[in-house]
Amino acid sequence: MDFLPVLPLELCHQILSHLANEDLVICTGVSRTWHHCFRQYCVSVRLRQLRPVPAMLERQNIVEINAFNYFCNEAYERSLPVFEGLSKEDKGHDYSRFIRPKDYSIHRYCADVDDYDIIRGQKRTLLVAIVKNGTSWAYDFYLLFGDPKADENITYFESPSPKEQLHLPTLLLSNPTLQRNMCTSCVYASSFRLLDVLPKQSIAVCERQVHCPYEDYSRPVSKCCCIGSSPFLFGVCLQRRCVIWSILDIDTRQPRAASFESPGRQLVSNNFSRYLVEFGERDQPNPEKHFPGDLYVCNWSNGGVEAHYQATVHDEGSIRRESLLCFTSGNYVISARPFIVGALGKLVVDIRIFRVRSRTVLFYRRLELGSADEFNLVGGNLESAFSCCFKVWPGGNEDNSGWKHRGPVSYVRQEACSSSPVVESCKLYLNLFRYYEEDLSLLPPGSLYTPPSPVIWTADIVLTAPPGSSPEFHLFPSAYERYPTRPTVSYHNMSKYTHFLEPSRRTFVSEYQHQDVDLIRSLQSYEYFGPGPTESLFYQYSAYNFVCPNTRMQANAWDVDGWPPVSLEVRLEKHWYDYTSPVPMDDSGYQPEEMPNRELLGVDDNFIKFVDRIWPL
Amino acid sequence: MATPSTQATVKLQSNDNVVIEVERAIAERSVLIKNMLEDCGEVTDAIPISNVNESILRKVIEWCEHHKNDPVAAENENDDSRKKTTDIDEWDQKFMNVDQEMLFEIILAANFLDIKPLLDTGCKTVANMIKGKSPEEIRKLFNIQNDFTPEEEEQIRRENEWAEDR
Repeated sequence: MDFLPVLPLELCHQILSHLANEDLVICTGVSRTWHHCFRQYCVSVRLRQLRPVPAMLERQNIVEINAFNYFCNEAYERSLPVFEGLSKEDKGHDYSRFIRPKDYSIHRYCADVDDYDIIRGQKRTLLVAIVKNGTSWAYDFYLLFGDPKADENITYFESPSPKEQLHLPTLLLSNPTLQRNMCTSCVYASSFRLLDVLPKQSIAVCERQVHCPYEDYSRPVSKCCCIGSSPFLFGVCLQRRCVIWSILDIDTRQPRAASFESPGRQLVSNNFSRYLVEFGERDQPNPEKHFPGDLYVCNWSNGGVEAHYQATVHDEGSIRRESLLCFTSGNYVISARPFIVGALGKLVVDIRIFRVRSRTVLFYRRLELGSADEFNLVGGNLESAFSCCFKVWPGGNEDNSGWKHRGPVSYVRQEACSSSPVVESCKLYLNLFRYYEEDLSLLPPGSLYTPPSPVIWTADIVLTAPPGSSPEFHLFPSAYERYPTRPTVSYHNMSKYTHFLEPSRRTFVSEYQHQDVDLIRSLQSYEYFGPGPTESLFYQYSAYNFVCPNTRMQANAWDVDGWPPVSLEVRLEKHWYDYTSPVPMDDSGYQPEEMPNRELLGVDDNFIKFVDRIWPL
Repeated sequence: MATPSTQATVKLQSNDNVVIEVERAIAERSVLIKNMLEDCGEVTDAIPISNVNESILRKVIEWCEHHKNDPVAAENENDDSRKKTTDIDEWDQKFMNVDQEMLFEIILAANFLDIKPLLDTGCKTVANMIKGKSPEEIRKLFNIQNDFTPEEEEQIRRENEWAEDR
């Protein structure tokens, strides 16, 4: 006797509530009535209950994603043929693009995780692979979603044996390379290192020292074990974050550790240690602890503020700011307002830049500034505290034609001017462009060339500074994108095409310049850009294109009560004069090119004034 | 408000007009009756249980008698552990070992009389019957006509493949 027609719906649902999802699904195959009823129940009840699951999975996956980032990083650096063994399409995963991790789409990867797990109900596999290298083990680990057994082509990996799995934490911990930065982004833009591996989870430790919120503040700061998702890299997929507070420092074997546990928290442990995992949302701004500080994006042409990103505050005594900014290609100046570098804290500027709407995982940049003492050691100038290296993963397959990888694609230069031992500012010159080579010989001279659409970059900039300072970010476009032009093309027919990206319009403008052929000068092309003295590189590039029509460095950003203005303007001024200087830069006879219709009007306390644009429109 | 001690028994009248006298404590396993008694105080007339016939009513009373000393479980609708477990104690299993029609009527009666533990037990019993069975077995069990077309059935089977190999 069928109970569906007999019992009212709520009683049927009550019966169904005792069934596992699998049973429910199977029951949909009984009859049409059952199909309707059970499906309805699955959708209206079970799926609703499932809704928190993606979040939970995310939390569990955060470390895996961290690991994945790390994997990308590592594998890229070593050019490991990581996924070469995987060539088949398997359940929507096109492994062919795994041949080089740089072709890996993290965003898609995440989406797959959700889809795969929730909708398909399939198992996800975190492949912690210990790669056998001859007789010794390399302690890399890789991630693979989907069932590795289903793909017979996996030969590169060997699952660790149970014994090895037992030692996995030790192995991973003992691997120094794993202790490098593998930061996606924790609550701070902080560096992570893999600390521990737990069943189904891992603990990556934020290097920052913070107060554990469950401890009283009079205690010494403990090591924060923040695990942050990467809302930047993964967009909406991973907005939530989980914070894992290590309670290693306090003895977790004491009974009171149990009192830490509550619905929002969970103690996880392995043989070695325990952690308190908090699942709470930490996105709520705390008005009491709000630190002022915003990020402005200024309009290219008039200096007006186009976007204003308010800082979000996450943790006591820390400032976190994050935003997704759209850049067009070109030069940018990212300036951080003077901030106080305390004796304890470190300033961290963390910039990740990636392209949207492509599989490009780009680079991240971390600048970490030590304490004031360190600055004093290096003469009060932050410059030497920075290292300049971007990691760049050019685009995926669809974009290979447009990309020519020639070493570092982007150059950065940063300055910090010290007007006081403890007040610092930093400035980053960011150069975003993509190589584009074209054969203009096919074009009739004098005609306008329309390059492909501009590359829109997206970046997030995170500045973390010690408590008490009030840093601010400002972002200024400082130059147009300029396509590198090959000499043969550039001077085709005694003329030169230059393509500019006009950021405010997001279009390209092509300029047709009549010029004398200058072979020596033609060598000042991007061919010369490579790893080298960053300063000169930047100078060469930026000076040539350094146009900030009516872009003003807003003075209010640089006015700090009680502090003298910092010397951003002065530096710019200097650069400007360098640029206009008729003195040849080096023996090659290079002389910066004068751009037409452009003039530095002056630098006063508030503004750097430029006039006109570089081309008549 | 009547005190519980004033009345030792209550009369229940099934829908086929059979009056059964039961101990008040037993009858109060039903939240419906309990509330009614609390609201009305002394009730000397038989309480009509309009949706339940005699045999089912006796069956329900039998259950209530056996469970009269059970602690009243804290009601928690969102208690997941309650929902997930399908364990039924032995006496209840025997008690529920009746034909399907009666089982469903017990569920209905338990629902009407608002006897949560009995309702739960009934639902779990049905769920246990379904559990782990293939669609064909379920059809056989409940005597359900397979009204899918072969194509539909094949499609559903394919969709549900993942649930089958547990």
